[in-house]
Amino acid sequence: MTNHNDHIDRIIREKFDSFEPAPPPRVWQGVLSGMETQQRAKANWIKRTSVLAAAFLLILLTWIFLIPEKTTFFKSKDTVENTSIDAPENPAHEPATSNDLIAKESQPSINQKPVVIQPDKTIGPSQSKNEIVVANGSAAFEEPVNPDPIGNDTEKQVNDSKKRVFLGISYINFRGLNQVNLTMFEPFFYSFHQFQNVEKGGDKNHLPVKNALTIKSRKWSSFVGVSPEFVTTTFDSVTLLNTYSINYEPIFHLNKQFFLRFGFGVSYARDRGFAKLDYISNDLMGTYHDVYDVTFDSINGQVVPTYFTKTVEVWDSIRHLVISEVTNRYIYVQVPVLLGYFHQGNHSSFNWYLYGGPAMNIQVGKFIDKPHPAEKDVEIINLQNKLPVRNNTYFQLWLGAGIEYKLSNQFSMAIEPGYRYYIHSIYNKQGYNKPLSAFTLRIGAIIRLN
Amino acid sequence: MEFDKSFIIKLLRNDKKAQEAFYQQLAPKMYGVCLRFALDKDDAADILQDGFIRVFVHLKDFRGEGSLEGWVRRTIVNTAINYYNKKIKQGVKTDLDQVKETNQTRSLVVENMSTRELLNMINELPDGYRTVFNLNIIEGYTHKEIGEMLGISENTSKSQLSRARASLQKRLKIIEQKENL
Repeated sequence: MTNHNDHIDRIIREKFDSFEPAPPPRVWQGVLSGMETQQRAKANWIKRTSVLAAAFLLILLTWIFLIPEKTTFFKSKDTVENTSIDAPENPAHEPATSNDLIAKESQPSINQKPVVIQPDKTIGPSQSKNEIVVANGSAAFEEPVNPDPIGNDTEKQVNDSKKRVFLGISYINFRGLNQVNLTMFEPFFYSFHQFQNVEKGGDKNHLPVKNALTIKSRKWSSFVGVSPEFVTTTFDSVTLLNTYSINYEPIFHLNKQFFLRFGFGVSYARDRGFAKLDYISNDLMGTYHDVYDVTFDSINGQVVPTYFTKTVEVWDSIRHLVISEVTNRYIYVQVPVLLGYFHQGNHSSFNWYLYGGPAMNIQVGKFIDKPHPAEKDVEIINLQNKLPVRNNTYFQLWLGAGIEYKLSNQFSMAIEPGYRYYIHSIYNKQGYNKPLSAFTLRIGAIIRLN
Repeated sequence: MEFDKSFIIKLLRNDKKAQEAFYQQLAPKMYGVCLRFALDKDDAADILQDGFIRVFVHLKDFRGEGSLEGWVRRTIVNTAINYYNKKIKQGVKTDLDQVKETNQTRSLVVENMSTRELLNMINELPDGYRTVFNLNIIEGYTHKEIGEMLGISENTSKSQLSRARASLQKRLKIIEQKENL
């Protein structure tokens, strides 16, 4: 029985091995449309994921910049311990320099026994030239209560050493002597600085403080510019794919090297292509003179006919098959989120930077051109517009480099050549799914906000 | 049928021309497979369509172990099985014909039948029998594999095959009797 079954099985298998019937033609069309649906679903997934990522980033940035900062208070005692720095000897102290400095330091915010040095008073004949000035208490320096923060009780003579030591962490840009704002980016903002007024002409040797712990305020700047974009990839029926945009992009400098750039722009896109137009028009073929009357006159014994004519126009229905040029116009809002690297030139006004990241384009307006024949009053038989319509949203990957020329501390000119890759096709039409590449040249200004 | 690497790379890049050529090469054979699993031509065409979409979408998963044609065939068979499973879920129950086995030799009858006739005979089998018969006898899957594919036990697979055979024997006997008249 088993052998018999095996035999039949083998016969069946052999018969089916060579069985290759032709499938119905609709199957291949179904496969193509199914593939397209799959690709669209994949593109939608990428779009959704990108939107979520961008939204997350925006929320994160909003949270960082708009939520009130968490504040940590340092006790001045700790500060003294951590930041006391020996001042250099000051045999030829120049009160003017120190006064300038202390005036700046002391004014912002001291409400309780502030720690201020005023060399005019502290260094007097009755006092030793070698003192330690101790920051006093853990007062918060929110509002200046005492406009004249100078007080001898804020100074304490510690020993008789010949060095005068400045122990505060007060600094021009600080909110207070012992209030330090910390944010989640705090490692980026801490730095040690030489006092600026020294660099501006002061004598380092005469400074009460050599170094001071400072926290730089966040560095903001913004880019404003225009950029034409030229698409390199083309389709057979699309001859022009240009975009012009104007962008405003706030830039947040994470540290000296890296920055985040985001914002928005408005872009004007123009697609030009062709449409096939089949129409019938009533065309003037020509004119002729129609004789509507004849008279005969006798002149010198001869009969001379006189013809009275009128001009008659000949019109006929003519079928035209023409290729008409059509131009579709769109307005998109661009939302880029870019991460960049900034390189500051050492002794030059030129700086350069690189950046890259996704940009979302959301359509806010479109003007779809209708192909129209040259003649009026025509009967259109067939119209095939070969210029596809763009999607409502699409994503790009921006990569760019920039050269900045510093005109002043606040204002720079910038030129940014860049490359843009369209993450998925801008057209939702079969045969137009090719991803595009484009080059752009952004020209604009960088304005530093602080 | 062999496909070189450059052709497979084209397929992976969604080259439409390559995909169409690939389809034209394999579709007839795969359609034959689909016809054995499906009840009618329309169902077979649907399975073939879904199967090729799966082939193109999941081609990146092909590791190059074995022939590409074999991988495509397995994908098509799996698509057919899914189709079958969906039908089960939709409430189309498999008929369990009570057919007595026969020891008579029918091989001669089978040999004389055309493939179309044989296909029609297989298609007359209830869904469950037909699927197990196709998987075991023609595709060469073991009962254990069939059990895993269809979500049934190995013994159920064996039992279904046995009944499929019996059913076919019965039909062959009728044909044989007609030929002898």
